[in-house]
Amino acid sequence: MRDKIAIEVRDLSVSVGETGILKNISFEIPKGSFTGIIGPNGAGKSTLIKAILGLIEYRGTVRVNGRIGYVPQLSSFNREFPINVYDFVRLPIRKEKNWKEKVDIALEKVGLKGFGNRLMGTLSGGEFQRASLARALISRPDILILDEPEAGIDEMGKARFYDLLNELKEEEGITILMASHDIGLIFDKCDNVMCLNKTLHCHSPIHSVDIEDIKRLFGDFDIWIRSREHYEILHRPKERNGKV
Amino acid sequence: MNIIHDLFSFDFLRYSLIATILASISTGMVSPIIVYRGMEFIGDGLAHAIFAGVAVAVIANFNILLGALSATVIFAYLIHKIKDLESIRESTAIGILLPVFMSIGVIVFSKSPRYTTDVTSYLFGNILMVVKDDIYFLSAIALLGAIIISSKLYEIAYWISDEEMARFYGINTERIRLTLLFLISFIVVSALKIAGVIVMGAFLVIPGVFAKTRSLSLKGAIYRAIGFNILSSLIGFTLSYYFDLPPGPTLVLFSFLLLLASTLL
Ligand SMILES: Nc1ncnc2c1ncn2[C@@H]1O[C@H](COP(=O)(O)OP(=O)(O)O)[C@@H](O)[C@H]1O
Ligand SMILES: [Mg+2]
Repeated sequence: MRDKIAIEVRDLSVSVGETGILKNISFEIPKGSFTGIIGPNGAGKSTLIKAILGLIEYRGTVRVNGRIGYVPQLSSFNREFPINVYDFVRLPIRKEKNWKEKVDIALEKVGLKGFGNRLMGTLSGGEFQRASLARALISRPDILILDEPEAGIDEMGKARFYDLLNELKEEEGITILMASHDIGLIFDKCDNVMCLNKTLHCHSPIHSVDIEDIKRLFGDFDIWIRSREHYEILHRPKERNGKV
Repeated sequence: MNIIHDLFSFDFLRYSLIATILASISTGMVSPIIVYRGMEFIGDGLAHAIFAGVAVAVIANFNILLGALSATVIFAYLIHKIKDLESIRESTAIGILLPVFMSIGVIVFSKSPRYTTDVTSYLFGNILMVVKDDIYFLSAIALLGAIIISSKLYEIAYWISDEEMARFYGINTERIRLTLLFLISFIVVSALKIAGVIVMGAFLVIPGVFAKTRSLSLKGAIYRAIGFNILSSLIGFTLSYYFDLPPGPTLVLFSFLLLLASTLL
């Protein structure tokens, strides 16, 4: 059933010059699901997202069924620039007359009530990401795509941010696709998980993920899996690698 | 020996004062954009383009103003294109093009070293040679700049702060970049008699730096930069008149001193 699919990707490849960054990726994202993309640094998570968004060139087909809201990786914003939260958030609806009311509603939803006149550069990591989420939500998207939204947020902030995403999914039926480093939280909150490292290594409901896949994905570094219920990412000393 | 009295007595002095204020407004308008976007060397780049344009115009017996204008437009367009092709920053593109244009100018002049007063006034400014037509040109460019920037202020702000998101949500960032590069080129050419190409960079950078740390929005930064520029060039102008100093460099030095004083206070 086509109309149950929010995003459909077929044989997607991306290369820059001679270097292949993504190879033959195919998957479908069901409507209303919460899918996590995991993979080590440089795996191509951001590239995949940008291809879906049409921000870069690719081979293959991407079909998107609905309007997308996008929360980019933290680094794309110039924090030195003086722009307040109102102006930052209203981008998607900048031409509408009553943008201010709408921005106020969106800010309240993400827990930033009264932040409208604050400068973006003065926000904490968590506040910044919530403002970024408000900007994505203000266009009333059917699909929300987030690129490592946990970067720069403390643990408390993270938990609240993910609860907010869950709420959006449950109450408004928004489809969520999120790239993340935070394997623990992905396993906690997502319905489906995709393991990406240049190609798609796994794509399945969270409960049937093969832990070996994930270990292979991350190579020998920085993931430590104790049991199905307990995942931790640790930076292990080099000589003890591989003895997991 | 009273500048106020002299202003009423001498047309040339009145013209040069009005021209200085107009040039302060137009360069101040784009200065914060240049500084926030990190393309501080655009003024110097354009200066070298103008040098090449003037050289070619002199050799070819062509109108010097048109030569300067065409060279800057070509320069601005090349920055735009190189940035696209190589996905590099504007400042890198400027760094590539600056010596290229300088070389063209030097080679052309080496074939016929006819420095005329016209050429030197383009290079160093010649504030007391301002005529009515210069005032019209400066006013037209300042007005054009004010219209472009005020009508596209939001888009320009997003282009500076987050180009990718601006593009994603439908802002034509390419067009904004090209429009601004052309606008800056026109501004530089229109202000040549005031500052000359050699010191033009200061007019485009110092007020932006002053405004950068003190503003809550791009709009506020633009107003501050314009105010700073007008104040500093009026005082610089007066000083150069009383002490009989070359106006362009005096204006720049005073502007720098004012910036220094403002950071210390
Ligand atoms: N514009 C680009 N030019 C060249 N290489 C790039 C470009 N963008 C990304 N890459 C390379 O593609 C790979 C994947 O990058 P990215 O998608 O950002 O990974 P991730 O988001 O998973 O950390 C990296 O090796 C990166 O260096
Ligand atoms: Mg990334």
